[in-house]
Amino acid sequence: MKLTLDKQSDADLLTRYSAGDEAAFREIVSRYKNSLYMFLKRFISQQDLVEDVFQETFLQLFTSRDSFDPSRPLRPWLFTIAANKAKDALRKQQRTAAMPIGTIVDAEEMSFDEVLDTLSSTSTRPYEELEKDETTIRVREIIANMPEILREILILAYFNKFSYKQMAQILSIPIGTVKSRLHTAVGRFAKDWKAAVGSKESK
Amino acid sequence: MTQLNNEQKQLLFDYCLGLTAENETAEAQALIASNEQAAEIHSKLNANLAPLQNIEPESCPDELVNRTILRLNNAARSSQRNLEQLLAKEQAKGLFD
Repeated sequence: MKLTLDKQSDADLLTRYSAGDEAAFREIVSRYKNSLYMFLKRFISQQDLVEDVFQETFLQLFTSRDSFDPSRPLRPWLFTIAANKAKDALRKQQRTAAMPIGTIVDAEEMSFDEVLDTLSSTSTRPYEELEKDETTIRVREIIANMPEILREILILAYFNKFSYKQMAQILSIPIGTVKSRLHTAVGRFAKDWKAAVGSKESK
Repeated sequence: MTQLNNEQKQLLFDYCLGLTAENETAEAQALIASNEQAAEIHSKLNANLAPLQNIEPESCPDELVNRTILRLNNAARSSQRNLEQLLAKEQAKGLFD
């Protein structure tokens, strides 16, 4: 039974999922749990919100099952739901929190050449100087403080390896915007990392 | 040294982020091997992206998976109940019409 489910396509599983088949629920959740969980952990950071959005994403997949197009891959659709739910959760949180978690609009676009100018040379930024744990904490902080639209695209591209076409679909933006936004995100990360390491070195 | 055009720079960017298809990967590697500017951009991009590798993958907790399945089962049962009630209502209507 398990072997059969393992081999089933996402579309077939979703048909069973739509009919309320528990085994299909388990298989779909199991297929995407780790990539979705990691996306949410990197995008939202707060564990309680991550868990809420994770559950809500699969519930939404069930409730909107009739709108699924079996000819299109499930993964981008699932991440579209997750990204929208994550943004809603963050907005709700920002309305009540005293401390903003990244900003939504503070994302001045950078050209590709500006991004390249921002990049440090290998010899001047030896991040190995930092302890591994400290590096992880700083990287997490930088990502968490990036403007939402840059954080989102960096995670989808670098960690989840979505294609430009899929990212455009997930975010409902043109491919050209995906590209320029990703350039800006990389440039912003490099700039913030340089500043973080610089502040460590000057201490 | 030949100056790179925007398309070539974009190819290097995609390659460093792991977004290239097999043929593009080979193209990027050939470019890096044959052009100094490409090698420099590649090295800079890699160095600047390297800190991101510190964010290691984590597995989704089993307990979260189980809670999700439970909620899905409840949603499915509730949806089935609603459907049955609707059908019963329609059938009853048919009997009295």
